[in-house]
Amino acid sequence: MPRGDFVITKRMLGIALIVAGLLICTVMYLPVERIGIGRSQGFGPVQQAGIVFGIIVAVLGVPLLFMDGRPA
Amino acid sequence: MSRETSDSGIETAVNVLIALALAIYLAYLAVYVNYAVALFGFPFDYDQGEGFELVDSILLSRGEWPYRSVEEYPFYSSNYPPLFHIFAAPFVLVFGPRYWIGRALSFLATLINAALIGYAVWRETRDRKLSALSGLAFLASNYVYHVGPLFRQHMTMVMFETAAIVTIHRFDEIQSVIRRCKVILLGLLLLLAAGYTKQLAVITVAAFFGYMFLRRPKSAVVYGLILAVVAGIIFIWIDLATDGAWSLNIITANYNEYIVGQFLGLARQWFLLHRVILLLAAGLALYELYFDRLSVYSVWFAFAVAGNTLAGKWGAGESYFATSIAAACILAGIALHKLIGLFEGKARKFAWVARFAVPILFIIQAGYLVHMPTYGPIFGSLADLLGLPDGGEYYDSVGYTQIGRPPTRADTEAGVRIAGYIESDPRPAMSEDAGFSIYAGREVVGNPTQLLNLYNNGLFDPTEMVRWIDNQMFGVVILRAQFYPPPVLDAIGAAYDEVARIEMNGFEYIIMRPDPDYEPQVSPPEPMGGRSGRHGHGDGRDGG
Repeated sequence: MPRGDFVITKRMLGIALIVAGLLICTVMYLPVERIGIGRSQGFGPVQQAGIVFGIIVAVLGVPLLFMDGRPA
Repeated sequence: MSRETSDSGIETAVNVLIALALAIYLAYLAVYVNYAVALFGFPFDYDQGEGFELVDSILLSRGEWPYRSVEEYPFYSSNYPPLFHIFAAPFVLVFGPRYWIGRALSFLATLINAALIGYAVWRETRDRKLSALSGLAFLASNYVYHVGPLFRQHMTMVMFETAAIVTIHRFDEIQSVIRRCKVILLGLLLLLAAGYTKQLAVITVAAFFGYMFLRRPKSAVVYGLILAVVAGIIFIWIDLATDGAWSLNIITANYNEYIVGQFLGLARQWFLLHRVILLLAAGLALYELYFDRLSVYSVWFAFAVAGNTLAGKWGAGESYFATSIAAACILAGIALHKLIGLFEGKARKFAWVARFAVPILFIIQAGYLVHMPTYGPIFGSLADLLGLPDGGEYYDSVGYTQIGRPPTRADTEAGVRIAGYIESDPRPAMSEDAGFSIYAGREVVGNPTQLLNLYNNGLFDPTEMVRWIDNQMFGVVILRAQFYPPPVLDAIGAAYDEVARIEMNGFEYIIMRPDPDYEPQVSPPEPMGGRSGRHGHGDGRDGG
């Protein structure tokens, strides 16, 4: 490992995946027009699919929380 | 039976199965080459949009940008970055506006991509047969087959993406600082090339830096900034040179409607067609996530699968899945090698199962990808042997597909007849396919999907175009999918009469002439300054 560079561990990756998943869910749950992206009319199938995707990403990260300091 | 005899028997059986798998994938390659050669000789649009990419190449060969205002004659602008067309431009200068140029470049890009996939697998496994199968599996994909030999930039983007990912693989394990910098800079250059071939490469850019961040966070930030600065400078330069038309047409006009059903339909088809390699790839990615270090291929695969969701955009299609297929082919090859290693290490008695799995899984995967012409002495006999259904010239496991059937002489003759309508009138022609105008040596007018994108985003005022149509300035209007904005279609319907319907490549083209009894509703446009619409781009009669 190069000096001065830090290591991204499995646990850090797990946290990142959980945060990313929850962020996706939050963005998808908020009315789309309120955050100013796209032209969708509020909550619909895109948002539902996005929330499912966000949950999958977050769940994938959970087992990583219980791992030791191995690099990702 | 001795242990040696048994091992030798297994070895022979595995080799026979591998030879069979290779033969099947080489047969797919033959089908692909046959399709590509047929397309090289076809002088019209096979896929809607090819002709406009040829127009971009023509304009760039003249030193002109294809990004311009669409509110004045010829109402044309491109919505793609220029690199692919820059590659085609010198050939256009030498050979004229020929479709085979871009088709051959794109076809070559897919072959290079397959070689890169094979190399990536070989580098990890040192198994030549497995590497060959992984590379050939990419070319055997129905999606790669359909779009590979088209005058479209997509597969060239995928080639640059694969090259960038293969380059950056294990960059952190390179001991020499200078060599490591060179490898990263080469990766950045390939990413830049991918992005300036097609905007969709942004997914691979994210994967590239995601992997870099996992391995060397500081390097990811530094090199990310370098790429952002270089890409930004090029962006601003083109935007200034085109008076803002570049950013308008490349970025703003690409906010399209999202069609959930389109994405779900394509995603289901993508999974069912490639299920074996996708499951192997997903398996290895999950294994790496929990039990090993994440490789660049797994990170790329994850980003590419997430990026597949963009296939729901209006105007997107199956080609949007090509990046994930390339990543899956690499991972599938490596996964099978790891499987053999796993068995040999922990359950040596059953290692033969894993060795059999390699050819058998590739053969099962091949069974889901069936696509081939069903006529002719070779393909016809093969189709009979495989029991493919009669009643068409082409079979595809996808089901109905607009592309994939090699064009025939009848298609070329139909195209020549349609172009004849343009040649018979001195006025410019307005055609949804650029190919007819190019064939007739006329200027290409309008790019319907781009006009519709801009119109839907409130960025195209069709008043001037409607004025031209209303005053019957076009000698002929040729419609295919009627993608023009509604006011333009309304004006065509009012001022023009249908005179013929001609089928080409399975599409019905509507030929319309000015209605002699029609009275214009608006004042005529400004004089064209001597532009008659003749000899706009030279003629495109390569005729095959």
